[in-house]
Amino acid sequence: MADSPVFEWTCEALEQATGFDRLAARGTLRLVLKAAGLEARSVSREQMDAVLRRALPSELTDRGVAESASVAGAIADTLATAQLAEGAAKDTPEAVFSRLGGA
Amino acid sequence: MMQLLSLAAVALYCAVSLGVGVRLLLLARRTGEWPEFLIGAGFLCGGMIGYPFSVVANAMTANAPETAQIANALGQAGMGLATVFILFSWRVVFAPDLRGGTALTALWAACILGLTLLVILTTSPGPERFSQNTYWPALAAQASAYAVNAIASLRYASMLRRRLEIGLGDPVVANRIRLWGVAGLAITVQYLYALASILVVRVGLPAIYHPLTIAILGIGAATCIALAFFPSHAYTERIRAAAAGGRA
Repeated sequence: MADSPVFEWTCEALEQATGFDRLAARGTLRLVLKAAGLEARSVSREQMDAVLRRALPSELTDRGVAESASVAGAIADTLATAQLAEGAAKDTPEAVFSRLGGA
Repeated sequence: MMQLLSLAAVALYCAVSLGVGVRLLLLARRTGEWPEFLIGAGFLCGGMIGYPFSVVANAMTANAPETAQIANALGQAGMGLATVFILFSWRVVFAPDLRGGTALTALWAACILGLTLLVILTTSPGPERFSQNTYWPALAAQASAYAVNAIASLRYASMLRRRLEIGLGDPVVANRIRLWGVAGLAITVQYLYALASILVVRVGLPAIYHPLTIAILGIGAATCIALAFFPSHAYTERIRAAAAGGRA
């Protein structure tokens, strides 16, 4: 299954911001997403924002990126207004169980 | 005493199934969505037809064999249908994008219903059914539907727990999915225990079946389902506080 437009966009932004090659950027982001319980094929803009601000900086630091928090924060700021062809929101298990419990 | 506990476990499971089943079917009528319909129908078929009629069949085998036979057929049909509803709920909720998922689920459901029908047609209630070659495959097929649901739910709950660590998601919903998974696991273990008990006797080993084990697993499943779908305010507050503490 194809990766989400949000994931593709963020990978490109990460390549440009850090100098990582395509493989390194995608691999780094996939690892961070997995650790955060998310998947590249379904990650949404809101979820990626949280990942960029709270999980990616430490991963970038480990890979020798200076000022990782501001690099990741800048990507998140740009992502917030980026034009992306996001599909309609799907009925995720989370959404279903939220409905089932009346939460 | 043991019989009382077993009956209490069945009564608790039936009561919880009735409450959750009716609530979810009412929700399905409002939303028109499949998950609430499938899970609600699964609860009503299993908890209001499958379990009670199976208990009645076992209780009446000696004194009213013909009535027991009818109750057994209804009980088995209820269990089979419940399992199929739960299987389809897995497909709709946890595996909507699975390649070939529709064909796989349809084949799986046909297998469960076919084996259940064979049990209805070829076995009588009471311990003698354990020696029939159709009974244990039907149990294994039914167990598989609960197992796949339990695995998918617990895997997803684990993902949600990790999302909570970065401030994403609702801890109460994450807990609900975990409870749904644990309930599915308890029911799967119930099936596997019954299956193992039959197979052990068939190969001539000493019997391992004890109603207390089934009762405890039933009470565990019912408690998880009740906490998932009818959580008290205090319980949800505790879950939220624990999540906030974990993030702090």
